[in-house]
Amino acid sequence: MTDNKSNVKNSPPSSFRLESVKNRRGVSILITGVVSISEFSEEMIAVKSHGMKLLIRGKRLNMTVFENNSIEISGRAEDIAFCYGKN
Amino acid sequence: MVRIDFLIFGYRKITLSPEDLSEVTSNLLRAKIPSSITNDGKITVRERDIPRVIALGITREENISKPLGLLGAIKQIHHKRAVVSALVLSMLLVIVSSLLVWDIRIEGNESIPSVSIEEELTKYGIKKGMFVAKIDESRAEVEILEENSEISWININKRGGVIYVKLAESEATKEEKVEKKGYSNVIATYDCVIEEITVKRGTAQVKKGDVVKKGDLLISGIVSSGESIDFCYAEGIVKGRVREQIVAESDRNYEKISEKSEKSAYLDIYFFNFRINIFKIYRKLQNKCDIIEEIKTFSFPNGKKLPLLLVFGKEKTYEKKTVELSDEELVRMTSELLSAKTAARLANSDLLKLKTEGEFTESGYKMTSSVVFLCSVGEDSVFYVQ
Repeated sequence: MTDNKSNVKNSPPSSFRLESVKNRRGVSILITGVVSISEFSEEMIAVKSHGMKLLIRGKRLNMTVFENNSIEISGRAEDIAFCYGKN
Repeated sequence: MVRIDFLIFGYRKITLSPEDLSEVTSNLLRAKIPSSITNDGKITVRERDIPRVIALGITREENISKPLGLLGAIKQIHHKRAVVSALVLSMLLVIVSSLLVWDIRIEGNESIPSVSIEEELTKYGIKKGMFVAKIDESRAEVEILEENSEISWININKRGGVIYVKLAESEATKEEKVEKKGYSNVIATYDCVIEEITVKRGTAQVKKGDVVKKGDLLISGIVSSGESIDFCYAEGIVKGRVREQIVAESDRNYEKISEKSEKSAYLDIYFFNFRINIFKIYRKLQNKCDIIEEIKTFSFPNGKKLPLLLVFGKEKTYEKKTVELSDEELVRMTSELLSAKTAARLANSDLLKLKTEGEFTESGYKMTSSVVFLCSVGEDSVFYVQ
């Protein structure tokens, strides 16, 4: 898991990439190339990337923001939806 | 969950309303400020990023908590004189206590009681409660060896407040203590010619110049005095002239083990007897490897050691390569091997004659030494009387 994180951190900031690893508290989802967060709550996080939007639904969702436009979402994620277009 | 670097370098929590969370998070993302957003609506930001957060106008200062984590704890106790003075006092107490001898640990004594060794050490100022710096262990070692014939080797080490004493008792002291019970004969351990026989107990069965074979009776445990027969534990020194061949052979295709790589495996810090592991790397090892420990100690200019050790663990991997040896190398290697074998064989013997021959074989080189030596050839063989 540590290796995945370091790979994600070292990747170019603009490229979109998603990796998920199962852990004790649910899953840990690493996303790079994030432009903004359009919605944040315990049950849903909406993430905007270049040309697309990502919806993560679940329970007890937490988020960590890293320096290079990447985020890590951890918690009991139940559904991930990719939406075409920024809106 | 707060990140470990946040905990060490300090962090603050920003309280926000749920509707502002996404916008603030986006701003932090754009400003490349690392943060952690928990589901209770609080954002955790590093202490050093707080000025940037305020400059961005993300939130008002009253929504930002006091410094937390290790740095926060240090900042909070900064003004508390009592805590600081207690810390300083306890540090002083630890330093002063490390200057005194707290314990003496003695190893290696079997027949000499520890109490008498401690009494002997007291003569040289080595006792509990004394200052460690005042102890001259080198002088104590030399003088204890001179004055006590029953000790053949002694080593005194100071480590923190503990004195470690390691010693070896002389062989005579040990032998005296071995109690021989029951009945026994002395039999020959080699095919040899008897050169010397001294009987301490029992009846000699051979004399000087006799040729004996392995297992022959040398000193009998049966003692006859007049008409009566007694049994005893036969004892004596029997020396014989032994002839033997020592062979050493080396293959031309030599499997050479060479170092392949060296990687850091772990780092430990020892403070007194406490061990703190800084890091440890787990990896799958496919080749044979050695763990090499590099220990770094710190000391004052006057030579007194600090109770702090750094232990660097390194993994050294090796690889095997088959190399073909030249004639010269082959002879040198076989010669070294033969020397080692001969030295091991003649460890407790007196060499009388040595003749060495060498020849190249199909696979490599072979050396043969014919040795004649004088050694102890008697061995106890216990028997039972019904």
